[in-house]
Amino acid sequence: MDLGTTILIVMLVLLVLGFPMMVPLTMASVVAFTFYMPIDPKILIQQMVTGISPVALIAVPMFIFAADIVTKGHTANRLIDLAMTFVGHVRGGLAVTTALGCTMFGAVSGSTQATVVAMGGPLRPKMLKAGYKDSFAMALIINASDIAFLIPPSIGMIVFGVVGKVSIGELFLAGIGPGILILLMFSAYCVFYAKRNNIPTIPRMSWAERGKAIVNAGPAIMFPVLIVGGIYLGWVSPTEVAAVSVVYAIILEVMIFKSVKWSELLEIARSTGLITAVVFILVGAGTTFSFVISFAQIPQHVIGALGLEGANSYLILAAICIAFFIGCMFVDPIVVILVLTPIFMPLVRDAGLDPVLVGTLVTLQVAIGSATPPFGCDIFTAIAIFRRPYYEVIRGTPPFIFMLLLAAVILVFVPQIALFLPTMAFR
Amino acid sequence: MLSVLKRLDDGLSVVERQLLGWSIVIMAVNTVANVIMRLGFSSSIFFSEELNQFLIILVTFVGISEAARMGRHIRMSAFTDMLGPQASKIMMIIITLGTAALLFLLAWYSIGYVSSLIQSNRLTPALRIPYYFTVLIVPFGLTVTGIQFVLAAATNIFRPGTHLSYRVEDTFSDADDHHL
Amino acid sequence: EEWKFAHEESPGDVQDLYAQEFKRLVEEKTNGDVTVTVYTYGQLGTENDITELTTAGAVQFSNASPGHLGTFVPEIQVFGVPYLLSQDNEVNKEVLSSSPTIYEGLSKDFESKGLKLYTMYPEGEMVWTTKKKVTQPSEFDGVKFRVMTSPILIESYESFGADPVALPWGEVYSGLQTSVIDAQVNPIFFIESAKFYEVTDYLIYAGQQQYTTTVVSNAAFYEGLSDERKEMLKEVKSELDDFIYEAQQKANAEALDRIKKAKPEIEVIRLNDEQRAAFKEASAGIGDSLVKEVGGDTEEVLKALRKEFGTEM
Ligand code: NA
Ligand code: NA
Repeated sequence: MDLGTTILIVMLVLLVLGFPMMVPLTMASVVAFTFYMPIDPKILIQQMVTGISPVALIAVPMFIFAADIVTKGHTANRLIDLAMTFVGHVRGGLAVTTALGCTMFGAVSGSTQATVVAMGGPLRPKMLKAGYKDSFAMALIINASDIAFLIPPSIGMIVFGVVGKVSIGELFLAGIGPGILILLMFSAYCVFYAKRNNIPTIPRMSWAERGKAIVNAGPAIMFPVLIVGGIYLGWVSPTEVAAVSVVYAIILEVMIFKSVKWSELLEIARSTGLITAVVFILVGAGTTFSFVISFAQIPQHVIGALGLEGANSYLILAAICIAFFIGCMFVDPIVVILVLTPIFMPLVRDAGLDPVLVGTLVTLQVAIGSATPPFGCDIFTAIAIFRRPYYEVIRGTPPFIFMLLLAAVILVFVPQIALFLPTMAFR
Repeated sequence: MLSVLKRLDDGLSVVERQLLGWSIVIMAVNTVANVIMRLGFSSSIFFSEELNQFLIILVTFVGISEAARMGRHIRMSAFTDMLGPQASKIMMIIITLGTAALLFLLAWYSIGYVSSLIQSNRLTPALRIPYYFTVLIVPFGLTVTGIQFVLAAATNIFRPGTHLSYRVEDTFSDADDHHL
Repeated sequence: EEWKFAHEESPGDVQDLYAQEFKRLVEEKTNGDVTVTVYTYGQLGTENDITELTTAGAVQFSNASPGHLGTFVPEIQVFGVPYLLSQDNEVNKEVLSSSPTIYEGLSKDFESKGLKLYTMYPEGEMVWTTKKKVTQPSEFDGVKFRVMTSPILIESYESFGADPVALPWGEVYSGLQTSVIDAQVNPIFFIESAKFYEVTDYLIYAGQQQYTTTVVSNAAFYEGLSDERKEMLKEVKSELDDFIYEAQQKANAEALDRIKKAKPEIEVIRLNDEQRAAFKEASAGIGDSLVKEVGGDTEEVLKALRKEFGTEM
């Protein structure tokens, strides 16, 4: 059997049997080193260490740290209250609030799972009380949280930028347009759903009440402003902004809202360290794996076999979308980006495709895949947090998946939605 | 005997958690300090990147051990969740032993890597300390993590129920532990 | 038989031109008995990785720039000393392709690390792209200058009067755009492909440095080759010495043309001898401080190279 087939089988079998994800990835490399490539296996470790060494990766633990701090604190609730005062009186207003809240919190935290936890917790009971079906509420929370992937900061974009050597600053700006597009589509669907199911509304708020909510949420709204503005004004690099957002999270939750104690910060840092390790061992294992496939020139063979070399750029974009979408239905998004990006990047450059557009599309696919059965990781997070059975959690997702796929198609044909902001800022 | 082992591991866990927490804090302080130095004093901390790289390697290889202890490594549990209690217990023993074996093999490889770095005298570019200092934690972390998985296998063999680690039982409510 | 050649640049860049021509010549001269597979940037990891891969024998040939090689063979860092190379490129070509200091002296340091030094060649002058016009050291005051994380480069740019800043290269473009940094330095072909000119206003040729790269081979592999193969590789090297010298000049000239066309308002400044002398003088102490830091044979190597390049102080 050739190397490609062997490691694919090894990976899939170990993955499905339920081995920790680092096992399939490294076992594939061990098999390759032992039976196919006459190389000292110390290189396997060297690649693993290399994978976690890029300076830009520091952004990941820093954003997780900031997200952990705001998740523990009051930022989430204040953002919800704010959104409700503005759209609560519209039919479907609560659902729109949920979509908006998840988007805003996702923008802050950069993590879809943190968003499902932080926003889903307080919002789902409110929606159930207002008369929404649970399957709709959960599907909305899961999918709206995925917008977090697109709005900066985004861990997926950081990893794509590092592996694909694409400007992370440009990727961040490129995600905003599609993120807003999806938010609008979801909101429209929420209003439609509420009208059809006759969901009641709450009274319109006065401007005084709205003003009060703005003041209340004030410092929390500053979060995305600080992140995007800090990069835009040239105070900080995209990597550093992650560490600066930690400081802001501390100022917000510890000093202003006083919802987190100084003494709790070290405990939060420990939990951040733990999550970082769980992700980064996969980053390292993924690097080893992509070394193996590069060394054996597997991408060249696969792309040759698919007839993609020199193919039409739409065909290449379609292939990329499908590959990332399917990958994320089964595997953790970070791993998918790590494994697939090096395979496709040479093709992207040869075809003269804009790597920033590709990065945005990849991030979108990753977001969709993470919320798509059978194994989308957000579904598991939702199962764990809401304590509802698998089928109940996935039942309401099809309309959302459809809208997300539609957004991907729109993006392919109207790339300006993504490229408008980076072009204005950087080009 | 067992209680001595448990005490030892508790101690190790405390050390690992302190390392994790402080590494993350130092990473944040180091990065922000670099920003302040640049914006306020137009100079940068020349070893800032290198310190962060060292910390991230430290966090990763210390953290995988603590993650194994807490049953937090990401895995796809769809298949094992479908199995009956007896079958899932057997499967868990296979998984934990297999993972331990792989980790010990990797630890062995990493000793080879570290010793080749010691021989090469390679220095880090900024601080000019021997490069192998930054990766000494790798064989340690892999070995200790391997031991955690052996303990998990033993727990599955000698105690009733299915266990992700010797501390954490695999139940529905732990489903969030499979993921971030 | 398959030889693997890994370099640290993208397809079409200078190192790739060299590797592809190497592939063509080797395959031709061995009648296809040897096939050469070329790996470009990122495929096998970072610059340090490909050098380690070569010492481990996983790849047979690789490129490394002195900055990265310096962590393996510290003496090679002398090539980072400002104004070591001649202002006359014919001299540089001659010395880099056949210097006894390099191929007899430094070569031993490589062998002790399991590497065979195959060749060295210049990829072009290191050009400053800045937002502010700089023709003398005092004008560097307050300019945040991005350099690679290497003490000698940091010291050099400090001595020129700038504020050196370390930034990962992936953030250089947006860093220039947003003024996290005000300037950076690279060969012109790279400035063009990374689009750094879009976010700066001046291209300044100060003559302080050529971007030199080193092709190394695994020492055991090289020693194990038949005499015939070794002879063939020597022939290939000398043909490539001429080839790359011209290819490099052409690539850089074309890149500069494209930059001027894409951004006509960019100002290209070639410092005159007097202006260069001011920077040379400002950085006169860098060689000595490198000798102090690195030790070993550095002092002798530096002295001998200065003599060969005709740049004694
Ligand atoms: Na985000
Ligand atoms: Na997934």
